[in-house]
Amino acid sequence: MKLRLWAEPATAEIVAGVSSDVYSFRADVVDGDPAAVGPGTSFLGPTLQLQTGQRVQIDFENRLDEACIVHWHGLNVPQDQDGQPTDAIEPGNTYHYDFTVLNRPGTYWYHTHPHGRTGEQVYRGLAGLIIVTDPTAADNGLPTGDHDLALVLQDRTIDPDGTLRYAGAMHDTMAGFVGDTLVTNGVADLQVAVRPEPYRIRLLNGANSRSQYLTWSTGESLHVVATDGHLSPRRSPPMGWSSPRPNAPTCGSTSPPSRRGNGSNS
Amino acid sequence: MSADTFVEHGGGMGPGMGGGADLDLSATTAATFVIEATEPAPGTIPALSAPPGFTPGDAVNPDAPKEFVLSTSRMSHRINGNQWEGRIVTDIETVKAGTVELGSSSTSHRWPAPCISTASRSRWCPAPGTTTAWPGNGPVSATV
Repeated sequence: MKLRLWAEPATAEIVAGVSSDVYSFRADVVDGDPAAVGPGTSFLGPTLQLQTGQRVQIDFENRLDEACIVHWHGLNVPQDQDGQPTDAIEPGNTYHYDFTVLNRPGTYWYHTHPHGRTGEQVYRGLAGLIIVTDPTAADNGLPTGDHDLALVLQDRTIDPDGTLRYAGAMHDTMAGFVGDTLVTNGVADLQVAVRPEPYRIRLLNGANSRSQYLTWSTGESLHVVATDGHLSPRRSPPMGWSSPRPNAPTCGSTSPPSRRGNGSNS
Repeated sequence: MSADTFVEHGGGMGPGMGGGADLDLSATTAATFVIEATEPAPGTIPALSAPPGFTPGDAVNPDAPKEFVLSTSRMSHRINGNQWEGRIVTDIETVKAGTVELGSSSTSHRWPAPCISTASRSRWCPAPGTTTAWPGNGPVSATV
């Protein structure tokens, strides 16, 4: 499969009705299944659907005004394909990736990775999900299709005019930046329409420093069924724990304990 | 879905040299799930088998598992006493792609260790407030 991927300045509506200047990854399929590049949401790059054993060729173009590179977080690729800071390319340049997906099915992500600028560039939007599948693998019984949801958890500090503020204080630089607004899939106050049935939820904590302990507001259980790109051999305690970078897909049921109408678990 | 945020300073992608954990357990909303008014179909959560293609029997070093003793000293993270340096890959940090190696890691330091990505844990991370198995709070063992 051949993809074209680029990073460019963009705008996104993170808070409803307010436009923010961001960076964003965009992509299209040059050769292969068009569904391999899913839609991006807000500032997030498109979700890349890859398959175990698949050869992937990607031309990445830097359309920013600063150095940038793409790191395939969690994928087992050769050193020169891994998007390390030493591989960062200057504006207007292109980096050619060519690797085979060796990983098991699971949830991974890609993000920018220049030295000293990774945190802020990710904060401004340069990240997206990678979902690896294996058509030859046995059915694991997990919900699929529109019952397979992905949530990217981040935080931002957003001025009323939409300006993203990042690491302005010495404390932020020394200890890691924490925004004051939770942003999920690139938007504040995300709403997801579901049916009262079991769902698989893939969670990525893409925040700089914030860890989150996830629960349903109704007190029901979230069951961790996989973490860091592989299924778990047993059910976990009913909890959802998400710290920056590891990817923990979970299976949670939105079925309320008693029949409800248009209620919400938040 | 609500999120009790655990603000763990340091160890993020941005500049930072790590530090103690500040706990902010105020609950906020990460996402709101609006449930359709249809008859519930609870289903069951599948009982999963072992991870496909990843068993200890596949390891190339069954008789000599790697050991990673993580520590922090003089503002730097260390593996087996040696300063971890991202630009220098040591033998113990190298695994041939497509192979499985056995190893264990341990740390008794309160700082999270960012230099190990855990593929499979021997036990689960607990909720905040408990005292074991979270890298920032006490000893933990893991398979990498």
